[in-house]
Amino acid sequence: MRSPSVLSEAEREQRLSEWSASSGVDLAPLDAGQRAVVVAALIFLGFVGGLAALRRMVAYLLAHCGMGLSPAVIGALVGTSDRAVRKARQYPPREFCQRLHKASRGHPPPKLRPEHVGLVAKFLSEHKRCSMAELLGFIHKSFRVHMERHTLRRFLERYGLGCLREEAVVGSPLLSAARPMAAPSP
Amino acid sequence: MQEAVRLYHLASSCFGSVGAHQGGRLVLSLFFKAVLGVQRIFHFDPLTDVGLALLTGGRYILSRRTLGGLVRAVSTRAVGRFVRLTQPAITSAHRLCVSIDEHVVARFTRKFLIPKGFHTIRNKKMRAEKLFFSFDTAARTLLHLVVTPDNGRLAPVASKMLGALRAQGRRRPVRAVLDAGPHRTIARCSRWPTRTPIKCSWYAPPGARRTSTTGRRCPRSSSRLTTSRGGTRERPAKRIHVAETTTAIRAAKGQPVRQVRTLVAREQKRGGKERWHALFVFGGKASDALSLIKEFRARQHHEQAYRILLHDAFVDTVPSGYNKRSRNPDRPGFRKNAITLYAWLAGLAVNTLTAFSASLPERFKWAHPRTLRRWWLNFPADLYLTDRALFVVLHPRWFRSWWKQKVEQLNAKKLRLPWMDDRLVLYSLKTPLPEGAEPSSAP
Repeated sequence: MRSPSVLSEAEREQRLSEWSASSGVDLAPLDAGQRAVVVAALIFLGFVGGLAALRRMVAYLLAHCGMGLSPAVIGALVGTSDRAVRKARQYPPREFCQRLHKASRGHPPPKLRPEHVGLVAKFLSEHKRCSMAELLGFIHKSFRVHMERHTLRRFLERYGLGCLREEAVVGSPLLSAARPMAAPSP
Repeated sequence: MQEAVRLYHLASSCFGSVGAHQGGRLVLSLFFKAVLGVQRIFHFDPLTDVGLALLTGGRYILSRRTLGGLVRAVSTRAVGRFVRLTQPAITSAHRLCVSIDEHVVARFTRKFLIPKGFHTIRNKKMRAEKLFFSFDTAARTLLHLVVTPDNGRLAPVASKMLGALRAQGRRRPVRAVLDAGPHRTIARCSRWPTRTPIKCSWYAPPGARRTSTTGRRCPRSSSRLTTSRGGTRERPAKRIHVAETTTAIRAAKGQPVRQVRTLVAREQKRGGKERWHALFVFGGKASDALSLIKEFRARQHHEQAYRILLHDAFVDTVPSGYNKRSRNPDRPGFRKNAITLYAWLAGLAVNTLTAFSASLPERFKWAHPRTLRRWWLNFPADLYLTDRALFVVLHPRWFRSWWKQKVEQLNAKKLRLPWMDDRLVLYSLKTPLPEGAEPSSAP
């Protein structure tokens, strides 16, 4: 495996300006040292490619290297949001390492597992007029899972569970009012 | 379910002539018919179960007329391609032991003069059609199917099947075990070239002329005593006397005589009476006699598979091979499409049930399909269908811990149903009722 070739100063400046133009990051507030670190990180990330664990490692390094790079710049470098960089920066090294090993796209594993979805669907179809609080209460009581409202909303959207609360689907357990199947048979 | 999705994809690609989706529905209907034990296509008419409808690819179950029409409409070439594509992979790592045998399906027509043959179960000569399955005795899997009218013979079909198996098994050594058969079959086998890696053991019952002379000629003093484990744990080990001799077999008139290694096995029945049988071994000179007998005995799983095919997958209700619309009833011809597709899907269903039983607790390993249906397939479930997923809430009454693990495994596979707009299938277990709310009797 060959490491990236050594760049001249002009090439580094060109690389930096290209990245600035594509990512929309303003380079004016950065001093010479910070710019050098950003160029080094850019070259290294180009070498690493799409390996998520190494990209996260670079973000953690830049957040703790004492060069004063803002989370927005680091996020733009590694391709995540500044919020994700701020969150990762809070973890002590040991915990960060554990999370790096058990990473699932940078998010913690979902609290509500796929095997719970059917029971949520059952609850929704049996209680069509239930409120969000009642549904959260059911989830907490049945699966011992605390969820926030927006997480639950995303969860319902992901599996298309919203249609189970519609009034149009009374009387039949097959509640797909949203999309008929392609070729119903005679 | 994974197997059903695979079959649907293959059927869609093979049976484009009847419509890709309709071809898929045809295959799914016949497959789940055999898995769930629906006796005939005729019985599809009164079925209204929504779960079965979704399993078979639509909102409604196909009517018997539609299903019957579809099964006869697919072309023989497409069926042959489907059979080739769905053949199970050979799993035996070292050597493949294949049993090839026939199953005779009786036909009760007076109008059409189709060839007559001997039906061993009914013990009479009658009009019939034959299904030849090859069977991997180690994995207990049906490997291939050839369908013929009743004048089809074991030796040519076996020769054809073994050629295909050798190609599939990448020239791995193959041992073929074939049943009884008339002497013509044995003679035909003796024509096979000896340098082929196929080794054959033929069973001949004591009634046959050649074997009875072999058995008489073989002196008792030459036999070797061995013991074999009894069928069940309670039974004592069997005492088998094995003697080796050779039999002179001529392939045809004018052909040279060939000395064939013959094993004569004599064992005592429970009543004290002795029974014996002979094994003709072609090309297996170096093999130990007892190991050959053991290999031959594994052929009994093939007979058991036929029993399951007959009584649980209802393979005898296959559509007829002769052309009922033929203008000449004396020579109606033979169309292999419907009979092959129906019988092969029944075989695949039996394979799937066998594989399913291997994943169950030890008590259910190799269990009978009816036992599997009673304990593992026939129980209530709720279905919820959204525009993105199908949720199946299972209500098992037994082995909840096993189901819990299985549900997690199934959900991790993220299986999508192509016949339902690629909806995701997710399984859940219903929360158990409090103690005493439900009867605990076993099925």
